[in-house]
Amino acid sequence: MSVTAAVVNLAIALLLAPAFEGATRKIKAIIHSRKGPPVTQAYIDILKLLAKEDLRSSSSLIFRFAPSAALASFMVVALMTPMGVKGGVGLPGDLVTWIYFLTLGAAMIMIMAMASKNPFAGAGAGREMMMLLSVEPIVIAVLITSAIKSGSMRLTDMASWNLAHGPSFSMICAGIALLLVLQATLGRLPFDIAEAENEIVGGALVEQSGPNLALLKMALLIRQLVYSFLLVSVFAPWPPLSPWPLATLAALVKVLILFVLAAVIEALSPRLRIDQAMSYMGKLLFVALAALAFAMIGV
Amino acid sequence: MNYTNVEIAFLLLLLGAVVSFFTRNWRTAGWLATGFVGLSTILAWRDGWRVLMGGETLRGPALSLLSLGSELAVSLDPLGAGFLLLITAVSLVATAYSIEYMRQYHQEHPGRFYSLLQLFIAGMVGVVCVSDWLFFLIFWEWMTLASYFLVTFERENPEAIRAGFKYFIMTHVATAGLLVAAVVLWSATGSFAFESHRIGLASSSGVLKHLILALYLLAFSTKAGIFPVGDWLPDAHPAAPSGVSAILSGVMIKLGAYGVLRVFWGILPNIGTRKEIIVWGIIIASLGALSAFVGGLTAMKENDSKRLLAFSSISQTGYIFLSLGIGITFAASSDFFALALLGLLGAGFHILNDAIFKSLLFMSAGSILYSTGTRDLNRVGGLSSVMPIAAAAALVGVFSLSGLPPTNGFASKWVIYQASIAGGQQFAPFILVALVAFFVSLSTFAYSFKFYTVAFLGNRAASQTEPRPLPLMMSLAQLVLAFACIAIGLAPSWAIRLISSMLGVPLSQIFQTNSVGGLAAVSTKGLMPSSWSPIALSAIFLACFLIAEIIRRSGHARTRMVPAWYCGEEHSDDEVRSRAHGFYLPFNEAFAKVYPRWIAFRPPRLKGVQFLLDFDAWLYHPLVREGGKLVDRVSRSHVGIPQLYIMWQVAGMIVVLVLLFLMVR
Repeated sequence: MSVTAAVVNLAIALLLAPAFEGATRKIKAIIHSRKGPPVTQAYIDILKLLAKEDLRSSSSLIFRFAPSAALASFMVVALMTPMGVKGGVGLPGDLVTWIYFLTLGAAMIMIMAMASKNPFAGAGAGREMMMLLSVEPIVIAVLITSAIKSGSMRLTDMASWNLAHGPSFSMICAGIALLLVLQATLGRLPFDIAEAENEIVGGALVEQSGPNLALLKMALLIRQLVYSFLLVSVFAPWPPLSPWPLATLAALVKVLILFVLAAVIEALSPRLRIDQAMSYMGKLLFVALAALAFAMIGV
Repeated sequence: MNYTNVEIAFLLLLLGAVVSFFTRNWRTAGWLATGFVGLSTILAWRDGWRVLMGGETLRGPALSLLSLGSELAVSLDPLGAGFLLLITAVSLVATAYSIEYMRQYHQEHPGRFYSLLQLFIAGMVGVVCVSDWLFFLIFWEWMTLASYFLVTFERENPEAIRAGFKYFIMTHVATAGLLVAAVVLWSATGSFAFESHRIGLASSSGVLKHLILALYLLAFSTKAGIFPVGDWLPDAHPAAPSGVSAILSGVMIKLGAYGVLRVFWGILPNIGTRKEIIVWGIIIASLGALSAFVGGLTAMKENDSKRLLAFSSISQTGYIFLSLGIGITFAASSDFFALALLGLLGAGFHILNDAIFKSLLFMSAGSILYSTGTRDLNRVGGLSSVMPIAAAAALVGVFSLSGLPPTNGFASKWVIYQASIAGGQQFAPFILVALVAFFVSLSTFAYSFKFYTVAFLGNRAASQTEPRPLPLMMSLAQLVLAFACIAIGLAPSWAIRLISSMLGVPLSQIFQTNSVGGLAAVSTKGLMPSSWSPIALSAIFLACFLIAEIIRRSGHARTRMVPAWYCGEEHSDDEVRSRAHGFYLPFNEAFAKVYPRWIAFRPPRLKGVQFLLDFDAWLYHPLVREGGKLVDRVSRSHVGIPQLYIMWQVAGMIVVLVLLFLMVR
């Protein structure tokens, strides 16, 4: 296990994630011709929430501990995701564990929503589940493509294989599928169906307040970050940069570009209905399957 | 003559059945049955464990039917031993669970349940302990009959009777196939032994061989509940009392997989050509994938707790077949034999894990039924305050079923994903199987999430009668299984070592195990580098959890309980309750027609035969009617006012007197 990589990954996940959120809000404000909050606003929000009163609608233990567990699951995922440091943290995990710890975090949030006894939260959890069902097959197909191409189930091996062998047709195809599904994995418009503030008042998070809400916000930010890092460090790791701080910095810049792109799309699009989102994902699945087929014939 | 432990265990079960028959009190009968099953479990484990560890077949004294070429003898090889351990252990827990659960049927005779239950367990023990097709069929039939009577235990309930009838017909049609296969090979070889049937199968011509294999597959996949021939399962499992549902879904349907393992792994690779093995492997894998997909999506729509779990059984058996099919396919190639072992190991491991968490979840559904009196998930809610232990156990079961780390369900699915992805690298169609496996795993999560959250979380339903608290014994039974789920999940290498000796797979050719129970694929041809070390990752998860808790407490926020917020409106708890039918509606509409509904074909001109078979119609009812008329006529003379009787008496006296006078003169 590499301690440097662990520290770097956790630092990026816990300390830098809000900065991306701040940047997103600034860009959306610019598109809306508003002044917008400062980039540090996301940090301020989280710090303020940590000190605010914790209001609980349920005495259930699940309701109490699920936010921490969700954050912990996404932190484990962040530790598994390659973020520029060569070889990664070296956790005993592979693409299956990567996907499943993400699902575990989502499961925690959904079960917490059901424990809150609020019908809006229930609706949000159901929608989150349906989004999961339509988005994850694409992510999985993309990851399998990469596994077949690189001959390994480990994310770090996939990243280094891609770095060593240069772009290949199937990997680019898979990368495009992942890019097109990114907006949904980030949970942003037009796919913020599960939260939908002005429709079901925040979905799963409706009964959360204070420190619990802060943890959940952190958890969701980290989830956005790991999906973006998956795209940039497994499917677009070039060019090879030798000292790791440089590689990490390059990855961060690429992630920032992705966030800017996502912010632009978010500012310009209305929310889709869940069935529209599902049919979009259905079409996208064919792109992912095509990538898989290309990988099978070796291009 | 000295008996093997297995034989004593079997006889103990029979003795227990007799004893139960003469017991009047439900509780006494329950404890007696648990005692008998417990004793025979211990005995069976002694033999089974020895066979599993030693790898040698245990043979017991024989009862020979030489003229038929058949013998009744204990013949316990590692494969049978593994199943024996599973059957007895799960049955013991389910019997202990039934002690309190069955007391709600106090108006019935306990012998009707416990005698049949022990006979049922004895039948299953018999199935895995013989190596002779004649006695295999006898025990198979014994098991089916006993379970039929258990499915129709609620004989007043027409739904249960219909479910039992469907089960009876479907499994018997399939067993007929097994019988035909056995008789055909017997006529060729003159013996019923497994070994001679293997030789007989090897020497039969191509068409006959595949016909027989197809009959085997039909019979075993019907029992296993594979879609579409397992259509009996979603009706029969909910109808049975919950302890029996746990055994049916937990172990009985796994015996279908046992049969497939025996024939398609034990026999086929030795006798088939390369092409034949591959074709059968692909058939089994695609049946499994289809079954997993259809079962998983149908369960998402179900609002009946036990029916939902029954569809889930169809889906999880699909996983077992899928992995097994991959294993069989690669058994043909010597280059990628590691993949064959991997697929086989995944199937075996999932058999073990599904047996544990599925019986746990059927017990959870049983607890809901016991407490609220309904299986309808729309009419229950908020039960975690009534049965906290059972709710915690159910949460573990749900996590296992959905395959979330670090439970045992994740461990076996991890092996299955390895097999299907690495298999797909060599043989492209298996990639689709891998995708189906992943997708179905998500839908498994979706329906089990619905099952858990609707029943145990949220608000109490208003229509619901005051839920009964759960007796300790029922909670304990579930707790034991939940503990097994976590233990196997945290240290999969120990369980997988047992599975590998059960299947005769050299584990070191596939996985390296580390000291804390983790697994890592060895670098050999066909396998991909991967690893799963649950204890290490759980420790890291716990560390992260602690960091999160520290962050949480860093602001010293105060806590206050508030009512749930409904955007300023006021609602009663029941109005805002999440109901089961509202879940995943758009998704279910998109996959509305995935489980076909068949209308049973009814032969039109068989009225006469039907009438002839219906003894009630032409014998019993007319007899009763005539007898009743006769009795009526007699009784009419006795119904009347007292004066009438006195008048008759007076008239009789006069007649007697007149007769006396006539005679005396």
